Amino acid sequence: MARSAVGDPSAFACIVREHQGMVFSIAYHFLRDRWLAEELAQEVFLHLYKNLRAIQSPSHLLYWLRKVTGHRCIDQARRQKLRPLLSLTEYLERAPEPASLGPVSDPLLAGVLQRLVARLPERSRMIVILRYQEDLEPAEIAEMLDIPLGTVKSNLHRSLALLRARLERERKGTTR
Amino acid sequence: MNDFENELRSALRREEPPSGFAARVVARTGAHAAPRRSGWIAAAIAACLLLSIGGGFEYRQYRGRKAKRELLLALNIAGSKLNIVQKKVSDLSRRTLYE
Repeated sequence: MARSAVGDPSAFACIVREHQGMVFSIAYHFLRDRWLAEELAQEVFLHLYKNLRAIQSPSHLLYWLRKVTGHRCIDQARRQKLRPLLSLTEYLERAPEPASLGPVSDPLLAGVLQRLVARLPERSRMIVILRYQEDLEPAEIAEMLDIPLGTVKSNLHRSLALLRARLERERKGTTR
Repeated sequence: MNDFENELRSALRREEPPSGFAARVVARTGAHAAPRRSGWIAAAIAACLLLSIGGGFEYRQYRGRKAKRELLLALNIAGSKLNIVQKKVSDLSRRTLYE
């Protein structure tokens, strides 16, 4: 980190490679657009490059990246409303993206869940992503997004109930 | 953690960005550094301009001072010559009066 702070490009590239999956995934699960997610992730790392001297430790770096990515995603979504989302029928007509395949019990269900998460309001969406992608505790999420702990807990509770209900509705819609 | 939350965790697992991502970021840091370099160049040009303007002003002052010195010297010379001429004229007129 010290080397990249003094302008060593290879050291900075190592930092990018180490954290690119995290930053890109937060952005991708939030925006549901690979191009936009890459653009946002690049901006986050460029911002990091300019602020490397302020980073005190690897854990601070992780915290900083999550925080900046989270706030930038919310700002981006507020600036640009997401394109209309597909129904489950339309989704089935399209081939799943290769990146969506992996160690998931049901890739189709994963795709549906990702889509349902993307339909949550901005702040709730980021809370769900930080909780289930990054495994953060509600207190950590509250600190990162500068909101009260109670708000995070109630938001998570409501979001899970909403996601369950919507998933159920989607399932019923496809079995008809 | 219940089954639904586990499904959610699986659905929201991390994914790698398209290949070459880190190289693209590093390339953009170079692009960002370029304006900084051009900023330095602009500052250097501005400094040169200031120096040349300041230098030009100082040179004009120097030439002015030199011209003033030369004028004073010329006036001194002319004054002393006039004194000599004046002295000769008075000597001649005195001699004419006594003769």
